[in-house]
This record gives sequence, structure tokens and C-alpha cells, in this order.
Amino acid sequence: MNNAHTPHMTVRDVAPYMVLIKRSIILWVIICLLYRAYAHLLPVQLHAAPLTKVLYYPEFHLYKFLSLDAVLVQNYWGALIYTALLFIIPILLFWKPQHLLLSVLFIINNLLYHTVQGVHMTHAVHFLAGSTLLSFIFLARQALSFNLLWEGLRYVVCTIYVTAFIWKFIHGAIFQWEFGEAVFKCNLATYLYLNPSGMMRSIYAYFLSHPYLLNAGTLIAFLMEGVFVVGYFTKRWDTYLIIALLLLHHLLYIFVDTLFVEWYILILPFISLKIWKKISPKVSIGTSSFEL
Amino acid sequence: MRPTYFKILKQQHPFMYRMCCCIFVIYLFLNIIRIEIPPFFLSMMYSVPIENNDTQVVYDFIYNQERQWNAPSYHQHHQRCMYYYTILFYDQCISQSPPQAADGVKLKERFSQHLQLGPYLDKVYASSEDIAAYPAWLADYMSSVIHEKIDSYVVVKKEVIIFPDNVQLIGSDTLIHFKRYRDE
Repeated sequence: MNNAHTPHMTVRDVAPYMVLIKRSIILWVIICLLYRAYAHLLPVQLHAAPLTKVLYYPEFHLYKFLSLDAVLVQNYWGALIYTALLFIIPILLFWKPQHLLLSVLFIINNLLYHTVQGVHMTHAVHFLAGSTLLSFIFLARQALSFNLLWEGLRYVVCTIYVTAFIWKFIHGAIFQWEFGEAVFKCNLATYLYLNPSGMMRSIYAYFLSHPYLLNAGTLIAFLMEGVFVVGYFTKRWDTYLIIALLLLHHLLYIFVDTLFVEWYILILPFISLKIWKKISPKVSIGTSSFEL
Repeated sequence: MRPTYFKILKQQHPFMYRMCCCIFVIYLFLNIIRIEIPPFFLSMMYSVPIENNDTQVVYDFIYNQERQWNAPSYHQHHQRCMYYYTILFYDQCISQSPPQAADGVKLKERFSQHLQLGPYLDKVYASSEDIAAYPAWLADYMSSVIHEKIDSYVVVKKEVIIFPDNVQLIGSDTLIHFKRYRDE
């Protein structure tokens, strides 16, 4: 046995749960695709959206330069086939999670859909960034590489939040006391205008009357991003990091009207070995029984 | 003392270690030049200070004469996205003189004549035809979202002041007035 698996080392031996972890990722991706179908955001549901925005993003430029929009969104049959592939590839990969070609296609699928979504939504949204990053775990098919990559992805997730915290210092949002109130008014203006009554409206009215709560809450949210720095040094706080991640995105939804539901998948690298061990015998998706 | 992740990586999997070092350098470089190339995502959202303004703009979508579109629930968040982002960008595009892709204006002004990049920029940025096609597309798209055929709609750009207990309208301007003809 390789010594990366021994208990005194910092790398967890998650390889016995490789299939379960991979299928958990695919399952969440499929659930998110179904939610996007409900929200009319799948390529075939975009009605050949004519308006596009590429700004300065290289992958958006490449997408337009290669005229992929004409094939994947603006042509009905192209959009239909592409939408079908968005589902077919993860479903096949769920069936055979160790298949290399399907794994590569799954990664390309995630990267491409991230681009399609940003270009046609005319906003560089990062909804699919979480699943795109975690999809790279499918490249690891041996026990050692899986353990090491899964551990690395845990550090990547910590880096996402820690750099978000650092950028707030560099660009200065953390030094603007009224930042929370300013973002709240900007992002919730339409909601406040269209919904003059109701429970949430009463809650929002209270916060607008007491803007210091919004501003203090924003600082706490920033600190919740910064707290991910502990993830570099210990795994003892991982349960709290899971709570922080979920809480942060729920607060973002309530007070900034931005729902990163797809990012909930980022809790997976923080799940302890003990929990995987506990879940594994209870669910059939963790076994290789699906495979031929 | 516990060995670090990078030390274990170097010992156990030299190839992955070299890959990680490359990824780290690329990520650092992209952060410095502030350019995002997936999967190197930069976490810069909500990092720039913004003006704390009581006056805000909302885009009111009123369809089939008098029905106001409103999708306030938690589960409707992604339904709202497409309309909110595209209508804002459409407004920015038609505010240009002449109407053109608002995201490419500066780049076009700077490079189109000097570096012969005109054809490339025309290809990647939305054309005036793309912008002109937006109102008819919005009718089709919103018909799907609302599950109701939309024969006509208006998008009214409203300037409002936000107070804790109410929102006061201080100005409005019709951004789109769309009517579908019978054979459309």
C-alpha cells in the first residue's frame, strides 16, 4: 500500500469511495440540468437567442469566432442535439464512471456549457464553475491519483473563497462600510418594486430601516470567505466550512438575489472519510453494480 | 510535523506535482493580469466598491396589454436571470449611437482601423441585426417562461427611489413596444 494512504499523512484515502464520489457529482450535475430545464435555460429552450456578449473573455471570443453559437444555439436541431448530449454524457458516465472518453467529454461539456450560458445570458455568470472544477476528478482513475487529486480539489475550493476575500481587499469593497446596503438596493430594486407586500418584503423593510445590519452582515459574509484559509492547515474545521459555504450562498440569495445553487456541489471535498464510510453501504450508487 | 500536500505530491506522483506547479503559476499569472480563462476561474465578484444610491432602475415587463411579469419565488431565480441580464445589455446597446454591441465599443474604437481587426471584431461582437432581433426573440422566450402566448408587450424602464416601506416611481421610459402581427 502506498504511504499516501497511511493515517498519519494529510491525504485521505477516499479511493474506496471513488465510484460513490463520482456518481454524487454526476447526480448533482443532472439535478442542476433539470432545474435549468425548469428555468428555460437549456440551449434548445433559448429560442435561438440572437443577442450575445463576449466582453474580453477569451473563451467567449473563441466560441463566437468559431461560430459555435450558430450551431449549438441558433440552429434548432443543433441546439436539440447539444441539449440531449448535456444529459446523455452524464447519464452514460453515471453508468460507467471510470470511462476515460466519457470523462473527457463530461469535462468538455461542462466547460462549453459554462461558455454558452455566459455568452447568451449576456453576463459572465459563474453558476457552473463549481461543477466544472470538480469534473476534473474524473481524470483520476487509479487509487493514488484519485486520492491526491481529490485532496487537491479541496485546496482549490479553499482557494476560490480565500481569493474572493483577498480581491475584496485589493479592489476595496471591504473598506466601503455601505457596500452591503448599496448592493442590496441595486440587486433587489426590481423585487422591492414588484412586491410591495409579503413576509420577505417586511423583512427587507426592516433591514432597509436598519442598514447597519446589512453592512455588518456583509462584513461577516466576507469573513466567512476568509475563514476558508483554515482549510489549508487542518481538516478539523471541515464541517464548519461546509456550513459556511451553504450559509454564505443562502445569504447571497436572500440579500443579493444571486442563487449559486450549482455551487453546493463544492461541499463534497470537505466531507470526511467517516461520512463517506457511513454513506457507502447505504446507497447502491457507490457500488460498481451498474457497470457491465 | 505533518508533510505538506505538495511534499506528498512530489514524493508520490511527480507528474501530478509538475502539473500542479504549472496550474499554480498559470492561475497566479491570470490573477495578476486579471483575465479569466476557464477552468481558471477568478473570484472577483462583488469586490469593487459601488455607489450607495437610493435611486435605482427597474425594467418592468408588461405583456398582453396589462399583465405584469413577476417571478419572485426562490425556485424562480434562474427564470429571472435571462430576462434581467439581457434586457440590461439590450438597453446598453441601443443607448449607443448608432445602436451596437456595448461590450465591443471601446475595443472597436481602439483597434478596428489600426490593426485590421475589423472583420474579427464584427464577427465576435453582436451585430446591429442581432440587436434588432432581440424584441421579437424576447416575446418568444417569455412566452415559454410564462407558458402563455404573448401577442404584445412593453418593457418600461422605470427610475425609482427605494424607501424602507415603499418604492417611489420618479420617471419612466418605454424601452420596447412590441406587437406581434397575425402572420408572425
